[in-house]
Amino acid sequence: MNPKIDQPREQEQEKLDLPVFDGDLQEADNPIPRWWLALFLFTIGFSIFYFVWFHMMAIGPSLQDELKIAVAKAKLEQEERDRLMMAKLEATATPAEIGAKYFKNFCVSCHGQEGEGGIGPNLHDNYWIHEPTAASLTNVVFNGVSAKGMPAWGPILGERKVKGLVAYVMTLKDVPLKIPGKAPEGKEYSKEQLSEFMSNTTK
Amino acid sequence: MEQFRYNDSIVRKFIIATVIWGIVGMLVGVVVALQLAYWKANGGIPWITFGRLRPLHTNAVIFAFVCNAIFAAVYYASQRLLKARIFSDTLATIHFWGWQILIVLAAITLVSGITVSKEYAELEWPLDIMVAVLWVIFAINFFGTIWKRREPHLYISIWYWIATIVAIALLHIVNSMALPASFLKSYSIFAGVQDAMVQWWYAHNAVGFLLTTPILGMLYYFVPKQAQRPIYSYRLGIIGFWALIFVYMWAGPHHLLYTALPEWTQTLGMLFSLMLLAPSWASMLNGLLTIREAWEKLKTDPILKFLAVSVTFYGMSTFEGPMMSIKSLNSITHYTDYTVGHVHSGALGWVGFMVIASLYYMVPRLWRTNLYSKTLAETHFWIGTVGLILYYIPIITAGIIQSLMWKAFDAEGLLKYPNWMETVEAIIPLYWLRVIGGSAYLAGVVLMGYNLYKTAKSADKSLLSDELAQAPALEPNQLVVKRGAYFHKFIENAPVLLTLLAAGLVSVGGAVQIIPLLLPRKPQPIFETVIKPLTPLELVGKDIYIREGCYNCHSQMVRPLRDELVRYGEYSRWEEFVYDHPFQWGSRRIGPDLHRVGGKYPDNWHYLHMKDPRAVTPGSIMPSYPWLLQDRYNLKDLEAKMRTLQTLGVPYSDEEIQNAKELLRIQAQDIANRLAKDGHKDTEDKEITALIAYLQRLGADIKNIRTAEK
Ligand code: HEC
Ligand code: HEC
Repeated sequence: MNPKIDQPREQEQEKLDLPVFDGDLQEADNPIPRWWLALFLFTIGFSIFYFVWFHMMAIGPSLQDELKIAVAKAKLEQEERDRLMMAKLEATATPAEIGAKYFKNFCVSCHGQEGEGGIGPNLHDNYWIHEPTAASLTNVVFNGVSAKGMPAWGPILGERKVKGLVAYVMTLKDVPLKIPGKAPEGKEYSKEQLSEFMSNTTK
Repeated sequence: MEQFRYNDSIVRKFIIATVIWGIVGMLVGVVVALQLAYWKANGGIPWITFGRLRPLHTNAVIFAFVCNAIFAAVYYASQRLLKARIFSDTLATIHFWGWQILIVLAAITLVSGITVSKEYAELEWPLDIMVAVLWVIFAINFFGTIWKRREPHLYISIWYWIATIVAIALLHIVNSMALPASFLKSYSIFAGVQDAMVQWWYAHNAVGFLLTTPILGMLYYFVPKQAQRPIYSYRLGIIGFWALIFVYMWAGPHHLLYTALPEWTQTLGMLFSLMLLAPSWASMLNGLLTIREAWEKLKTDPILKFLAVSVTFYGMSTFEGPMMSIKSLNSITHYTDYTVGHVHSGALGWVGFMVIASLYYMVPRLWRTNLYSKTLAETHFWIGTVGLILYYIPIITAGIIQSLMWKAFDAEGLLKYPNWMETVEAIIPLYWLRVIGGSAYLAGVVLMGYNLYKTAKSADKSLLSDELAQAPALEPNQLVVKRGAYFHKFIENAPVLLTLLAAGLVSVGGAVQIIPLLLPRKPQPIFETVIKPLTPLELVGKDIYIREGCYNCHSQMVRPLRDELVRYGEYSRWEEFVYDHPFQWGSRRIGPDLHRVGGKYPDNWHYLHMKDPRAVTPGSIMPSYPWLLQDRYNLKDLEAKMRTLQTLGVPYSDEEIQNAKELLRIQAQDIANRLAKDGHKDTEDKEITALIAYLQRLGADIKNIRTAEK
């Protein structure tokens, strides 16, 4: 601590010509701490460098560049993963189980807790708007029917989960609904037809 | 020697107002905090839903609590520092009552949804004018007192208050520039990215020049007074002052990092925020090193304790702020509760405790008695500090948790938490802790109110006349600076020069950042043809969106970050907002971003969601808006509104304006027909239809343009 500050007020004041305000308010004349000055000058220097580097010379990447790099990297990773995943999927998974989990998360707001229907159609009945084959339903879930309000889930969930979801949806026809469902929509199919349409995919 | 009296009664009035509004404002704060933990706390009453109440909270604590405290402290200290009675008692009285009436009118309009939706500047144009007039009255009184002074030098507190008065006038006037469409509805003259820049230049510097500089003026008065020690360093004070007021004004764009603001402007915002660290710390050092001189007193003196914690929090938040301005860190903290935590460490810690200390200091002196209970003040200090920490720690933690959840990708390269509510549910317990922390802080203030009330009650009425003081008249030769004295003394003796210098310095930052945005800019060709103004129905919908304060929970600005592209879609471009008067980018995502929500859900989804969000999104904390389903939209001023926007450059043709109601009906009927299919009858003239039209339009213009990044 600077010794000056402990000197009697009057002396200090006279020497420095620092006035007294409102009876007893005063400012001592301690020096500016060095490290404070260093900090201030460093931030100024850094700022000048940064601005020149990123904007005047444009050496550093812009935000858009950074995004492009991130997206490209993610895409590569994704392709690699998809390759591995498909191989694994064939061997192990029961897609319907995975699908059930995601259904609760993303579909119930429109198709109801049990799939009984709401904003979207009832998924338990024998009536289908789209042909109830795996390929056709995967297409519906993946790409959506935006005019009718069915969102496209492909970009959000990815192919594997969509397949799981479709597999799950297809199991619903065998699960009796305990609560009233939404009125039928679309075309009616017989039990046999449905089994046949859906058979070649469910495991 | 001349004898004169200080006007103490005006200070007493402002102090009483401070305490009352402080309690009210913080109580509203606790209620909005509660509404996020437990949405039903809005009682289903439109006036106190989150979107309307949150602006009431911010306005009440800033303009009612803190401003009254500033006025009290400035009137108290400046008379004493300048050795003169207030310039005009009448103006002071008008200032006082005018300000209280303003607060009441502001509260009424805000809960009624009468707002321009610019944060901390929500008031509509008649009230904006009232603010300006009252501010000028305050300025006349303040500068008039300087003019009448008997003290040659201006003390550092006075410099800070001069900067405050000049800067706030500038900020308020520029940011409030709007064209009225009717008595209580106006549109900002700025659109989109310009409006955002002006708004955050304003809002950042409202923090700078209402919640920092005047409080620094208080620091330089109350700290040495209470510590009974001189300010540590005169020179540090000088450099800190000039650097702070200059640099502050450049930092606004740190609220707009990664947005559609030009990147060089963003960078300026980040860099000047970093450069703000040292100037801020200059005053922190001066405060703390002064208090250190009185270390012994700190143990027994609650006022000094409040001051010490206040200055410490000032140091903390002025370190945290620059860190949050670094782009990569900002991409994590922005739109989250981290910002809310940062604000409250400044507001409750720095500003709140400084104001509290000043009240404990002034009240016994003004009522010429002793503080009723030192023990209660001590208790207040501990409750307040615990409350502060219980607020701050959980809420910055909530911010970080939520942000990391938004950004998390799973092993399959997809969003780990695509369901928004998962990221909300994770932080609800922390919201409860905040309620507790905030309530504790409020309890402390109530305790203070009681303590001060008892103190004032115990006063001897016969002693309450204005304090007598004496000082020699100011002789011109006193203004001559002695040889060998610091050069700065010269400025300190010349208020006009000091004011002009301050005005010049505070004007630069905004000018460099705002003016380039006002020049005509050519949009990229692909945007030029697709960006269209809102239809009449959508405009009505947007006004409902503004009225309900949806922007308090939803942003409309998708940042160029990978997780946001996956979650929301294409990032937002400045071209999309050229007709957006006022902009709706928001600052906090309590709900998801809405800039790409257009077309995401069917109309029916929105209908059910607005009626009760939990019907489609279990666990949602968004308020229900059932009245939108029943109330008819108001078309009285439709043409006037469109004409106002046309004047501001939105390309509505005269024909469109003439046929506005017809165009509106056609679009409304179309939506109503779709809703009718889902069993919602007679919606064509209801507010919900207009709101749905607006929501379905958001970001839709360029949804189908595939850009290079994809
Ligand atoms: C925003 C509401 C909404 C959500 C959420 C939603 N759907 Fe749909 N869904 C619909 C609508 C509406 C239809 C009818 C589409 C049509 O008429 O073509 C539909 C149709 C379907 C169909 C075809 C039914 C038929 O009869 O042909 C399937 C399968 C389906 N959805 C599965 C899902 C799955 C799986 C999810 C969750 C990942 C989901 N939906 C989420 C609204 C939704
Ligand atoms: C208290 C904060 C809050 C307020 C105020 C609020 N919302 Fe929300 N909003 C949320 C939350 C949380 C969600 C996510 C959960 C859900 O879907 O309800 C949400 C979801 C939404 C969604 C769905 C977005 C999506 O992509 O899934 C829309 C649309 C929406 N809100 C519109 C509005 C409108 C319009 C208003 C004003 C009338 C409003 N919100 C007011 C918190 C809020």
